[in-house]
Amino acid sequence: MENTDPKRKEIEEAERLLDQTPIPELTESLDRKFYDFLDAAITTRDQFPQRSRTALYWYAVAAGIALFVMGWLGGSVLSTRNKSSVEITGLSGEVRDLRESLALTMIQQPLPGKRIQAINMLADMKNPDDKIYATLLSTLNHDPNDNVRLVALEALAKHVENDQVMAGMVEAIGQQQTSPVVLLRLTELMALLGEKRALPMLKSILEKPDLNYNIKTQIYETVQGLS
Amino acid sequence: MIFVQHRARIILTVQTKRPVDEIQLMIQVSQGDLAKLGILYERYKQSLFGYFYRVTCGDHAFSEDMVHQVFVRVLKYRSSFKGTGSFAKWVFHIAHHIAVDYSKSFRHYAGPDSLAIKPSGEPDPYKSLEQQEKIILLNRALSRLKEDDREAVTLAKIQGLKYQDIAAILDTTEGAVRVKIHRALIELKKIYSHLEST
Amino acid sequence: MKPFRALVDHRLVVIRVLILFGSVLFTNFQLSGQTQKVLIPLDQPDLSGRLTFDNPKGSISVTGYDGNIIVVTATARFNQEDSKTQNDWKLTYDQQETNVILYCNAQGNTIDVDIKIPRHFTLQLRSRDNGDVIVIRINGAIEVDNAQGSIMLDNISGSAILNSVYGNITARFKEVNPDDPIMATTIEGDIELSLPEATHANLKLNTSRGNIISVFPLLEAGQESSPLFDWKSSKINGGGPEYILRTYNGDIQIKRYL
Repeated sequence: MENTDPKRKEIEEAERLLDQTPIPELTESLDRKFYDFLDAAITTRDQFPQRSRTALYWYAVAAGIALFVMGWLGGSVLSTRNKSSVEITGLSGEVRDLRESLALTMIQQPLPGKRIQAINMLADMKNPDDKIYATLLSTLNHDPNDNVRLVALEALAKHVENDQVMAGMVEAIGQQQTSPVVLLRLTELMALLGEKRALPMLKSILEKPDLNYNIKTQIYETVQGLS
Repeated sequence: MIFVQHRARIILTVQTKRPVDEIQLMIQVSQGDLAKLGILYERYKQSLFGYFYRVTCGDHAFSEDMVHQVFVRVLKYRSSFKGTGSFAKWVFHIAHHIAVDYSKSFRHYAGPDSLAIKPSGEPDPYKSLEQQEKIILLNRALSRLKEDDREAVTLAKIQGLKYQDIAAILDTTEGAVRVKIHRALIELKKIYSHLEST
Repeated sequence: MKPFRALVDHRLVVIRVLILFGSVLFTNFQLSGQTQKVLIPLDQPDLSGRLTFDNPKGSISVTGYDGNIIVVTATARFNQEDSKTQNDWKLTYDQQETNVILYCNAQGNTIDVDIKIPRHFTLQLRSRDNGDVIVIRINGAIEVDNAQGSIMLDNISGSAILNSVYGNITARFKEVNPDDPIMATTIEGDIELSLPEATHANLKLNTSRGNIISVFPLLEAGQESSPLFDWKSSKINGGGPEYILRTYNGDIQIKRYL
């Protein structure tokens, strides 16, 4: 196929024209139309007759109101169930300043995004004290969300010259049964730091049966490198 | 501009696993898991709209209607999706049929003189005057192409469609499609330059 | 004081039993042996709400809408090995005002759960096996854990904290919160993040074995002084909250939301 230079230039210019001329934005009504349509299709699939669905809807509303009232009465007892399971241990004594106390409160919030912000606040503090390290280590070991643990780990990794931090990170290797991605990053850090103290922990994990292949490889290589 | 970084070498395209995910999603839809169609709708609504918008030379309202029609048909013919090709290829095949059907029977696109305005009648605040003029000019130029040339250049710009997919959609060979697209692009440039200067 | 407290506790136990009984009786429909539907009415639909759901086996699909009932449809997946799925699986929930916890007592079945919920709800979702997690059209904060499957978010307008092990993550944001972080972490899988044009953020990206493609320019590593930190970073539109994407065996793509 012929492809002389001036032609190629024109083709490129035409392509650029198509690339750079914008397409108008879609209106909200298209979304609404589609989701109404999809909804109707799902309803049809479930083969639920329209009439009794309306009656049941009103039962549901009535039940909901009744439930709300009962729920409100029992609310003070039920509310203890929903607290975040993040436990902060070893926090006693005075807090250094308002920001620190705010962060320490935020780190117990149910939303992981807020807990991450709290960790960033603690990590940004100059001259962190033992309390902050303890909080970060506790998060690394106990937070229900792996991503929050990772953020705590990265914050701790900036202070590896501190004995408490380093020892805590080594110990944390054994606390990641539910967090393979954290275990992986911890192993990586141990390798980069040449931390031989991590060897016993790492070796014991290699013996676990259902280890993720990537992690197994990383730990094995790390053990080789550190031995 | 696209920035690519890789330890060993620079590469220009990446085959992500997204096409496989989409095939899996559509197969689940075909087996009755209709809620998953929402994801495919969100991923393709804009590119389908872009396709119809260019093929109709700028009929905004009509193009939105046709996007909706695509998904009505996707649902209706869901059991015919076998996953032998990408979802992109299958859905644009449906889009192509709709465009052809309507152009045969209706021919009532608003056409090249429709301004780049939203269906509500107000100018799009996000587009500068200059951009709006460009859109109108391009629509005019597109309208002077033959219909199948217009389709070819539009499909060529859809992300996720390979030349062999376009060939299947237009019921021709890959070689023929490349030639068609290149010729149509040159023609488009010629027309556009001519309109720009007048 | 003590005897009084004991009396109150007893009454509350009775109330809890009534609530569970009531929730099953009035809002849980059996559509067939394989499908159950639960309707959860919300009396104050404008208040911020939160849904928590941990599916032991199966997928979760959440679609946001403008309404004031949460509609949950659960379908047992047909099990090839044993031709009869056990029929005694059950969907239940706990509701405290607008905080809802959904439970699926699966009895070993794989149950795919579809949820239709008001768009402003916050979600905390987990699937442990055998299914993807999909979230569409939600404005609240999203937290997803799906160790064995993919996570797909689309047309969302809040923040997301996402975690997978064997799975791809695709998150397409129509809008972002100006203050909230976004995180996506996986080990075997690709990550794709689509952001609106006007996003302000600090991107931090890392993949051990894979490629990074971004429509926003990326700075070289070495911006941080230590070899421990090998992130490709980038400030978009002057910077903002941190968006951290991390995979080990997979590619990362940052695109514009279109």
